[in-house]
Amino acid sequence: MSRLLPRRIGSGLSRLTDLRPAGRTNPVLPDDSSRALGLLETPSAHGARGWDGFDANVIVGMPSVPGGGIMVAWRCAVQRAAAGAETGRASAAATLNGMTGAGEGISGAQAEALYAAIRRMRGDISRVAQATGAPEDVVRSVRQHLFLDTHEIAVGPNQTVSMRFTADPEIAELWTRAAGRGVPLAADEVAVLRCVIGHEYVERALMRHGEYPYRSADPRAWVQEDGVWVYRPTPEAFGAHDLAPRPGFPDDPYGHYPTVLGIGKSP
Amino acid sequence: MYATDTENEALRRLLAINWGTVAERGQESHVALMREYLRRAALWAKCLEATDHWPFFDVASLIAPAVRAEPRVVERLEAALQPFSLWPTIKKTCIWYLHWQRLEQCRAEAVAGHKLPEPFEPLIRFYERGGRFSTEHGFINVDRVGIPAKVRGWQAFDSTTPFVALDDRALDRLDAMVAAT
Repeated sequence: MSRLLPRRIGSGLSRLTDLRPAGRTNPVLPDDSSRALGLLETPSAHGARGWDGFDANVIVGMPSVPGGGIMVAWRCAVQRAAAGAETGRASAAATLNGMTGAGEGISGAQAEALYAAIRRMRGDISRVAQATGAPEDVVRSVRQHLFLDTHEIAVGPNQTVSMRFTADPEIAELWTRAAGRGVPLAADEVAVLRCVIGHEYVERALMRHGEYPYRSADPRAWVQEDGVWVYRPTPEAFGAHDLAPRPGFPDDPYGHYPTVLGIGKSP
Repeated sequence: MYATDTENEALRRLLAINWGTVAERGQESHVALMREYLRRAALWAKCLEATDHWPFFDVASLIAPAVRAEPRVVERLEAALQPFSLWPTIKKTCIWYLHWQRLEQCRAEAVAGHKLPEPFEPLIRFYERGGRFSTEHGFINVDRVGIPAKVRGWQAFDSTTPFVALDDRALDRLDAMVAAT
């Protein structure tokens, strides 16, 4: 049986599951649910918590679209649930060398070294927040998720590895430069980093508070093609990554919900 | 320094791509093209003893670091791509493709000696057909599909058998076949 929308993610989200007709394994988000959820949580209600001036739609690259209210409510609830739960802090400063900006490739070892340097950084949270316009508590949560936490990562059907995330050269470079090391980010790079932060933030909240895996290890989500395992989430088997807004589709970050995950489809 | 014919042709191909739209259709051919790129990149990485740089790296710089695309060609491409919030690796691979094209024309013997398939062609076909990707935690995301790349290692793609033909007919056929099932 597939997981439903998170149950422990906050009062707003627990209400989401109530919208599900009895007997259905996937949540149905009727057209008017956004209005209902909008009453539960609104961005303006978070003004005192630093939500002021922060456009939730922008960080996930999400324009106002039908059903968007659901996701605004979701994000607000996610933020509230996750707030205050962060404890990890980098304890030592690091000096990064060799960051010369876009156009050059970073090897796996260099990316891992950058991740290690980020873990030792001080002050990067506020600098990344300033560079991207994302709230510091959001950046703090994403930093913990990306660089510090250990995750159960599905790499095939019923195959998981317990590890920190594999260092991604682009994320390593974007974060490092946003933190003030190397060439400052250009506007298009800031936009990309904001999408990454939005994606990772929601992904982490779903993993921590919704008990979703990063990606599903369910065999129904894996297909072997010419000897290579490929992850293809389905309505029966998906993970937090699949529920988080798609960074590559800034104009339609949730377009895969009905088509891939079966969420929002009429019964 | 002047741009070679192949550089200009490569630039023309890249500038002809509509970078502002992402094709939601053609999923299967996008995934197949990405896997074919990963296979070719694995072969080159192994051959050049650069597997730590796999899957996305500047192949030409590892063969002849001094042979670079004409700076004005690169600048034209960068200016054209700048307005789009593309995953940075996409922009880098386009530049590396220009370097590769110059190397192929200026040092053909250095390339041919390796007897390996052109590394970037599947990726350029992927872009031309509206494909976009991002990397994340060792996976390559092609829309909803996650290809375990770094988390599996280059060895998983180390094969001399092509995954897919690169012509439009074969790719269209693949998309149509999956759409029908």
